[in-house]
Amino acid sequence: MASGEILRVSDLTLHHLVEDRLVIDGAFMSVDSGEVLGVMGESGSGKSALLFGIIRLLLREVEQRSGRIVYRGEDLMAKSNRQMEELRGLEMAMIVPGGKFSLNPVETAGSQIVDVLKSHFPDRSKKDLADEAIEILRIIGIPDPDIRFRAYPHELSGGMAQRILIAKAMACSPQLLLGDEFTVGLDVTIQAQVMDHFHALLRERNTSLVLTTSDLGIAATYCDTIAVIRRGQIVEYAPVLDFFANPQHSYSRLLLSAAREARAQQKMDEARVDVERDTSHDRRFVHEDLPAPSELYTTVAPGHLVRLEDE
Amino acid sequence: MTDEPLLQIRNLTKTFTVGKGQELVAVSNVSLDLREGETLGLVGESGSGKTTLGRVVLRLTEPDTGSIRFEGIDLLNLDGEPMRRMRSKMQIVYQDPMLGFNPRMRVRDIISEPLRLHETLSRTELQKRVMEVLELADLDPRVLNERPGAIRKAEQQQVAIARAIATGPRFIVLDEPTGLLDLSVSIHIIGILRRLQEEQKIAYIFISHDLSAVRAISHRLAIMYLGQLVETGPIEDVFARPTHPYSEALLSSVLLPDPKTTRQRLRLSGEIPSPINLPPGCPLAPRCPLVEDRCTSGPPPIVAIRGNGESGQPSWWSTCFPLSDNEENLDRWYEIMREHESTETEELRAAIAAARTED
Repeated sequence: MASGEILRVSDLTLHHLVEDRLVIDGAFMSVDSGEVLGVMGESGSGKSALLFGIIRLLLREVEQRSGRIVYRGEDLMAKSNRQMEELRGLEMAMIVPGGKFSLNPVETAGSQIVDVLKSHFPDRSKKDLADEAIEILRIIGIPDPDIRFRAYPHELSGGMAQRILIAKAMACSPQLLLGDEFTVGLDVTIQAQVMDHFHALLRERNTSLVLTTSDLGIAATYCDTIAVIRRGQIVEYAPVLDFFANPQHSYSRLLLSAAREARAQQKMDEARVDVERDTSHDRRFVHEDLPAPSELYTTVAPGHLVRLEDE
Repeated sequence: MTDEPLLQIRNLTKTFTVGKGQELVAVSNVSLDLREGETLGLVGESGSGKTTLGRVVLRLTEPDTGSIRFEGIDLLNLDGEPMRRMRSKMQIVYQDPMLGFNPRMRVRDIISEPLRLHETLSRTELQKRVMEVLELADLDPRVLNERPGAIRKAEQQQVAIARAIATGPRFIVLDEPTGLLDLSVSIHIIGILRRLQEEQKIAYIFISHDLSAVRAISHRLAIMYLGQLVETGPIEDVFARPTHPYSEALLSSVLLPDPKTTRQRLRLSGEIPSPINLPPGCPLAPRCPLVEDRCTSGPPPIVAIRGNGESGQPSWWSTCFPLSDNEENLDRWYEIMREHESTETEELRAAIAAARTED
């Protein structure tokens, strides 16, 4: 469904000048409205760099060699820094990991959200912005939002601080969120709470998310499409059901063998009630026209591409 | 071989004083047994006291009350030289190995340091032992002349393991040894630890957030919440049929690596409360969906799920008031817990509906 496409990236190549290596090598993606794309890879694979490349926040020593990034029909490469600044937060925003360590320690949670709002809506009154920030906290699922509004980061739990970071990113209701492994370090119970609520919000608002993760549970549970990245190259790109049922690249198979083992064990959990999931939503996103070079990728099924492996 | 376990912990308590007369009970009345060559997985949320328990067992932190018997010897009665000598038999591996290395020492010296402290070996013997240990930890000899900062994260953790096993310990506390590693690397480290255990009969306490890692390596599981053990039993039994509401909440929160299936989850309300000045009663009471009035009245009873004559300790137990009514009919108890569970799809609908009405 090209009509619903919100982001299209092709041939993105980022070169690290100091280490003299390609951090991202010919990456591509297509993301529809309301789609969650999971970028899976290990540390050092380039998955975070990919997000920073899309939102065009690169380190000084990283240079973009090639690539087209089209957001809602607009070419981001043609935009000035100033124009990009206006876009960030308002149209696309990044959710960073790290909980309270990624927040400003000497500013209250609420004022950090107000700051985001103020930078895009400078004319609105202080009271108005504060009310809106409290409303955002409530929507994100933070209990007692007016109390948390006045809390400093050190007074928040890890899960609460991470929700504040989500609230910051969602403050201006952007259409596209870029999430960088932001539930790493949260306990599983809190991770489930945070992700379930966040995922429900994305569905409700039809917001798109590109989420990096190394957790197969997160990939299977919350993502519609999976891109596996290794050493800066996308090695496999597939709808989530296809990916888990029929992984093609040897690296994907390696990743999934651990999942299969865990799953075999889980099936012995007799007191557990496993429920079939409604996967109708997942089938909505099949990209038949992915901007991938045909000499490097084979199409296995609609929207399912595999990079050719060197022997 | 006697029946006494390698390590016997009884009623261990550690309280920290914070601020003005405020008490933080990090470990509360914990009793555990650990046998030779056995792994006990210790899980719980951050702040539940897992790390403190691991440190207290090794006397890296002194407990307030309770007893620790290791190889039949009362550890808390040892001090000075006898305790120092005992340390060669009990070791620890941390989550971030770099924090425990002197960054200016070479790997060779890091691994041989405990040997120089605990044994008197000639240079050739020392060299021989280092090479043996290196092989046990599956390390390439080329790392010996490197400084720890120059090698990969996984290799750093292997060096920490090599150092821990250098003196031939009987027992190692593994405090999130795979916490900072990627999946494939973490599987490698778990493999090394398992092989070591088989060959050397070392007992482990494996502390982790990663429930699948815990399941892959442990024989028994202990689940901790706010300083207390809430359930302990054989690993597969507890994973398959946990009896404590907290265990169920924790284990059912694990996301399945399968896009077609989801699990019913027991959801706790809110987050883990501050462990400072805890009220009496079950620590889970404020968050538990099955809470009753009596849950806040006093400490919950210990319910033996599976008895075991040996040393009078049940092999599988749990501590919960409502569970104690269903001790004889566990199937009924599982049904009761199920009635309080929901699926993520149901939760999703509820959340969407809530977001709509309040908008």
